[in-house]
Amino acid sequence: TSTKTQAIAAPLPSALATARVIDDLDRISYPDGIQSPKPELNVNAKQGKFRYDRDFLLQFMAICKERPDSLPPLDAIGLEPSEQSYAL
Amino acid sequence: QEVDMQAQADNIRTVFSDAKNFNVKTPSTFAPAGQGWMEDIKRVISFDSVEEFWGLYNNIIPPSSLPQKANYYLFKDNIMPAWEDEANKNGGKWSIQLPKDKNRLGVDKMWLYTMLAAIGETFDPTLTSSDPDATPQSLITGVIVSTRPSFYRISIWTRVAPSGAADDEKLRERIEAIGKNFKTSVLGYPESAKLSGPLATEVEFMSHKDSEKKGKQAKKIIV
Repeated sequence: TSTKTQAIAAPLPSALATARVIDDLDRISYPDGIQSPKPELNVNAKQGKFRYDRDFLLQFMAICKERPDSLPPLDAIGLEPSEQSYAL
Repeated sequence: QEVDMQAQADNIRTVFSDAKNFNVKTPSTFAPAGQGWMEDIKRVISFDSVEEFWGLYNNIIPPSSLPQKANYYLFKDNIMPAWEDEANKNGGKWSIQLPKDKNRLGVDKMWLYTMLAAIGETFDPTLTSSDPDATPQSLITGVIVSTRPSFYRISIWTRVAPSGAADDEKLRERIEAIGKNFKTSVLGYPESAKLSGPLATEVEFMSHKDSEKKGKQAKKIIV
């Protein structure tokens, strides 16, 4: 059927698009050498509203480098020497 | 090496285990609205995870490379970066102005650390209180960096601003704690440092309502 053809032709979704959001930090085990978020920041954290220390967050910098699919080319949004604003 | 049986059973893979085929991501509440956006501000992207934040960060230019007059805004929970937004209208901002010539090298790190404190929700020490009954709402609505021909400005916007009345002392203390944290942990200055000078200000707080009263004596908090 045509549905089947479409499914084959569609590009693989990126891990970012398919990964589910972590709902329990205690169930995540990080590899050796990667530190977890400081537990004292999350003693009363609500589900999905976690707090992360800077050292934890900085560990992602060297790994998550892929350009987001939804990021427009910067020249196309008028990144020129004039008053311009960009919401992240 | 200790093996986490539960994690194995769930087959949880963070980006650190498998940068290509991870299956969980680290939640973040920064997700600007896709509609009703302001004309002079272009919405670049919204994200809901730490992984996506870094993908963005690693693909856009830092403040030191922005044009002479530009702003980056990072706001959360669909809050618009405007005084008129419901979440901002009773609020105010901590800000610091830094002369460009002395801070070209430092501003990018200051802005990065400002964003990370916002995303990590570590500006406000009250939030991490170990009192199980204390579950206060975060006071931070967003952060901004501005470039101008001769200076940079970094601001943190808050939901509320202390009125100055005696019964507002608790809120004033909480707002001050955010300012002190901004000055020392995020910007890296000693608590006692005096920062004002040509084109430079102290770390200062002002309510949006006072900011609107141009010319009149506005109340500032300085840390």
